[in-house]
Amino acid sequence: MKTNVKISNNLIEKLQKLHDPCFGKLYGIVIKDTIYVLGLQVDKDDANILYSFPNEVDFCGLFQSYLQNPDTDTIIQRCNDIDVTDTPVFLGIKINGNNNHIVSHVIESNKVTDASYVPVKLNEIYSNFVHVRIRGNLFLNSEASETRLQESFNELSKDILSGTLAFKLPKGNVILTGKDTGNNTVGLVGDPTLGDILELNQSNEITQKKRKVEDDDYSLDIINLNFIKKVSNDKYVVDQKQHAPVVVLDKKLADVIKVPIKIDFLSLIQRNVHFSTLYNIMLESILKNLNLFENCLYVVLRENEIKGKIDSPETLHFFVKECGHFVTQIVFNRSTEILKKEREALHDILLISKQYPVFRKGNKYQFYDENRKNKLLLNPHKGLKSTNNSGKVCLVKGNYEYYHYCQDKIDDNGWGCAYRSLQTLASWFKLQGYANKEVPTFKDIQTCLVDIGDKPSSFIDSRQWIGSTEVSFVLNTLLGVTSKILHVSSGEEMAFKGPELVNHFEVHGSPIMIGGGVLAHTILGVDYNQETGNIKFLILDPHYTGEEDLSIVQNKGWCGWKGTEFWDKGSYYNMCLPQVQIGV
Amino acid sequence: MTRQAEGEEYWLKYLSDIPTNYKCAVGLILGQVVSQKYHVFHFAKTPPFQTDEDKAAGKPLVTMKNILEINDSFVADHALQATRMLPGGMHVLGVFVVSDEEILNPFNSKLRTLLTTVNKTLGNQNYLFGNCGSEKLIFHYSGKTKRYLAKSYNVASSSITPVDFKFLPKINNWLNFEFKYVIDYLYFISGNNYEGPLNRHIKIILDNINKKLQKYFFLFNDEFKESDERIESINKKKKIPRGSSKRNIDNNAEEKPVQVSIYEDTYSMEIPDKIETEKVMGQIRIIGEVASKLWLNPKTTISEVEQAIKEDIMRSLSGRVDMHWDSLTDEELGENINTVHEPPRRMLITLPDSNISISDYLFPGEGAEDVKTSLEELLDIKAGNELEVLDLEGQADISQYYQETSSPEAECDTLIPQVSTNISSHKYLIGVGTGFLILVISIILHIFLKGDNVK
Repeated sequence: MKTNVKISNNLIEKLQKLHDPCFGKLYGIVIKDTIYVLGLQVDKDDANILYSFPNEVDFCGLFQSYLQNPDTDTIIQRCNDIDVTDTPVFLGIKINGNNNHIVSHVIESNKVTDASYVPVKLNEIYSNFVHVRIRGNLFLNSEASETRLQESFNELSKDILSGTLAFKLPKGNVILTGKDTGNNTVGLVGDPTLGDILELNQSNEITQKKRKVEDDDYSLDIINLNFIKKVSNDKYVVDQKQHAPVVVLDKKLADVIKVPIKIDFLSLIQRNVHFSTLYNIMLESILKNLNLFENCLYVVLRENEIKGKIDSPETLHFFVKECGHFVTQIVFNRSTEILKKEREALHDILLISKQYPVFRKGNKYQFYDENRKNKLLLNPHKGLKSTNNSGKVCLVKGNYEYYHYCQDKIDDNGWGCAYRSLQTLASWFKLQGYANKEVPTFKDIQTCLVDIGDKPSSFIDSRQWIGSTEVSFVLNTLLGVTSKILHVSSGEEMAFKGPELVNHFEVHGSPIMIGGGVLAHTILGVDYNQETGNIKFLILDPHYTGEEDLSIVQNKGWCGWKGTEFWDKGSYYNMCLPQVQIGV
Repeated sequence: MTRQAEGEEYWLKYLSDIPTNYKCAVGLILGQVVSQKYHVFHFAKTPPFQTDEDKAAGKPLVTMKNILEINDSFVADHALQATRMLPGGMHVLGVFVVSDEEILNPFNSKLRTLLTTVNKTLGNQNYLFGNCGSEKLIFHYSGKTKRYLAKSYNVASSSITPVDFKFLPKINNWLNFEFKYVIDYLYFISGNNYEGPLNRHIKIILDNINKKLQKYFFLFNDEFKESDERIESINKKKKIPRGSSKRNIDNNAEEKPVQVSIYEDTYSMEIPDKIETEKVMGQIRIIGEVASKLWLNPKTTISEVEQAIKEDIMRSLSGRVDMHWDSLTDEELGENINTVHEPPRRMLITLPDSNISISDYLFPGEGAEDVKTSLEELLDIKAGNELEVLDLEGQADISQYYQETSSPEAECDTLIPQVSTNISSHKYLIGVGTGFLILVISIILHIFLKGDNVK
């Protein structure tokens, strides 16, 4: 049967830009005779990032960029390691400057055969596939040696496979069990697909769940599952393997290590797959997560012997725009340098530009959290109609939260707008991974300004205004961010700031705080028409006092495009343009 | 307000037979309280009390002449022992007195002290769940007048409430819930709390198991149930199984037992946020299964069933470890060696007169005759006919655990006394002197005793 090769546009783009000869692995999903190639990994040392991809995304082929000819013998030989398909993909990339030519092949019976590929947009991929996120807690006790730990991890894996686990949707009392006969689900009518399950969930309440990722026309749907453990034996008969409780006392002096493990792993599964068939995939997810955890733990243990307690690692999921897929990392609390090195290595093997961070804690994907009802709006400008300015549109890059009057039960109506704008800026630095700190509170901000000597101590808990320079002081002191201050002597002058603002958004991409007269605002972007000289400003207004309701915010213009007339002719303005440093 | 109580007719016969041999007798009333109504399933006369000296001297048993002779703590101990035999959800509801004295009108102060003692004894025992509120049922039967009267006495407020006690023909509508709870709990004896007897650690372990239990959720016949749903609705659609039990042929609705599945939601389970290393002085592992059968009134709600399930597990676990420690000598408890302790295991015994099953606990080596003795002593049941004893838990092959605890390659053996790896019996507490082991693979025992008493 002919193998269909579909390659994500993001991957093609990366391969087209390759400058140097290299070898690497391809990762993708195999469905019958179609292979969806989603990601890659450049060969580097012995790095293996299989477990950083969502489950079901497997090692499915190889690529090689070359100046002359591909090394087919090596390719064929290495393809023997691939077990998810009999026809692994091989992509040959002939390097020719800026737009490499990609040739697609499949390896069949040790022969390289041409097989044209079809590029697919993320939109197509994520309308066909859905992420299932499995979560739950495990606990591992072991003697504190690597051999014993390995044994304990093996035991734990066996335990996971023993059939006592089941999976539960957080809502609606739906359970998926490992029963191999009869109905293996509880609480479901019929045999719904994952798509059906999503609709069920959404009709319940989660209307905002579909969130657009960046400006691309695709959304990531996530089905959450918790794993539960059966602690009863269904066989209500005499079971020869079982017995009444006994108390085993083992008085052996030992060093033990107690390891709590928070499982949190994604699988990428077709929407038309039936929920009832997920059991083994979910087990596999847990095992992959466990494996990733185990490997990370050994690295840390080899570095430093644990004495006493250390922080459990965090499992972070990053949806890297450049890659178009999730990358999951288990991050221990290690030194800044080591963490940076690891991030750089990850950028290298995934061929991600090192201009800005994508794997810092702040970059982690913000999953929809049902428990946080009155959550701050994220990127409220998304979905706004564009202007008719026909200019160059340059917007804030990445995510920020909308801070405005009267949040956190603080009545700052009339005096807190610059504080709120500052908080929006700080949230951007947090969510972009630049700042590993929470967004400062009013108190933090005031204390900071007193501490640096800018304000007297009576300033704390006062309702005094702050301006652009204070904003830049606080950003610098609390987040280590330097800012450029731009001055205009009247609102009309803003019309001429197009080139500078375009440049800011292109290079730095951070939101800008602007203060003048009695008002502070946040500039999220510009639409600058070079020919006509017309400019529109994308403004986020901190003076909003209502609920976190996106439709009000957008329809009433609290976030929207404004012309030059928006600025007061009679006022001067200062803008605080936070600068970002290149690096990961 | 008058409380309602009901029991089956044949208990009136049991009570009316007592005056033939006893001028005054006391005993326990066993059952369940649902929606403030007493559902009695058993009356059990307390055996005549005899001091140890009198017993040793071989003096004959003396029966009581009046209620002032009732030994409160003896009755309370009887209540404690009997409670251990009861499935979760069942309690010692109170006491009955057979005597020709007038004791309830006015309320005899002896009853106050008796019920207070019973309440206190039952309340003292952790995880026995002996008291079901502070109201105790008191039932009086007079052989002379052949009349009975019941009241309830609140030991906390000393208030007395009239009880309308009805004896009815076959009620027999208890619903049966079955499950086997699987335990595998590991506990480290850390350096700081190394000293002290083993049962101190066990107490902590029981507390931890109890804490875990509170977070479990339950499925009934593989379905979620609302917590306020009454259990009578569970089996509505179920067919009546073939009449497997001879006693119940005349009974039209022996329902199939409801299977309970127990789950732990690992996501909501609290786990520490640190990885920790620790030097430990040893470890204790509790491993095995607790087999349970609950019998609950159809009006019981799901949340009450869940409570009963948790109580049953804890009552059974704590009861058997208590019995186990009681059976050990101080010397045995203090021994500083690897040991597999084998507490007695649960036998589920179907009561001859109702389809309810109660528990008895058998040590390794004990057998059916011991069950018979317990029934007679604690429940006043002469197991004269066919007795159904279900040994679902089964006895452990403890050698597997010795192999685990002291494997030859075990490291750091220099700091603890050398433990030989072969299972030399003198080193271990259990399995010593038990003469013979009853069948490891357990069976349903049918004890046929001279079948001359068959009804």
